[in-house]
Amino acid sequence: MFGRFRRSDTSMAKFLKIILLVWMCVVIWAAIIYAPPAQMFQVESLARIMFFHIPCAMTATVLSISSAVFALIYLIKKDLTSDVKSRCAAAMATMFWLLTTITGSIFARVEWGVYWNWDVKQSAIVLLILIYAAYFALRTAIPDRRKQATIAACYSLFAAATMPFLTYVLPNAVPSLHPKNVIFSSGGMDSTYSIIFWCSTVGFLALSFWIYKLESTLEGLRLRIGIAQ
Amino acid sequence: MNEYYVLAVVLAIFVGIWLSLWNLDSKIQKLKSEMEAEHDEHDSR
Repeated sequence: MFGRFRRSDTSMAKFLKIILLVWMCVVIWAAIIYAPPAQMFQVESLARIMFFHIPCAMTATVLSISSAVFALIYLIKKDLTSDVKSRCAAAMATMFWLLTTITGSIFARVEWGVYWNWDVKQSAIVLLILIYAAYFALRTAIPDRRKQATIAACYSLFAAATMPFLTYVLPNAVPSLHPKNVIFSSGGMDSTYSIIFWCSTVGFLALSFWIYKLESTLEGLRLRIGIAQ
Repeated sequence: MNEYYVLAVVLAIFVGIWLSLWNLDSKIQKLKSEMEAEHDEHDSR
């Protein structure tokens, strides 16, 4: 019975992954071909990078919060699996913050003339990447597995606590090249842009969840082998 | 024409990433089931 349940569960997962492939292909087509060029941009067609740049940032935010939640669970339960999940989420968050910076730099080169403007939001995200880089350096510096997990969990909570200040409070408090409240304000995006944008965000979140599951399963297996040894 | 070229490149990159993930997923699931079978066999002994 359990074997049959597991088989149907695997078939469902495979079906969802195929749906994700089709979903993202349609999103990419809609973003590049279907969406009309946006007004008020130096190169109007370049506004389409927003369908990838902002979802990357939103996915990174969700992953940073997930890392902190698993870190908190570890501190409460002292279960190494939660520590593994926290670390995997932090690694994924760093990757998506990096993708946000890269896509943002491409946009900045065309729109504002140079790849790097020392804009407050650009600098804040780089600071966030450095905070997460320090998280991994900290982990490798502590040889004792339990001690490493406890200190890393505390640090992960600190990293997540800095995130709202660096990505939202600070850029809204000082003048920035980035527009403010484009996504949630009524005059920010028209309906076509809004639909493609949210579909892209859902696709990016699903893709990141899949990569995260793969990474955490692999790390979980490594942990089991480590315990067995 | 230029937009279709960009579309082809982005789609190729995404499909490449998706296929790599699919392949990796199959390998990890196989490894997981092998480890579980080994574990069950060890338990039954």
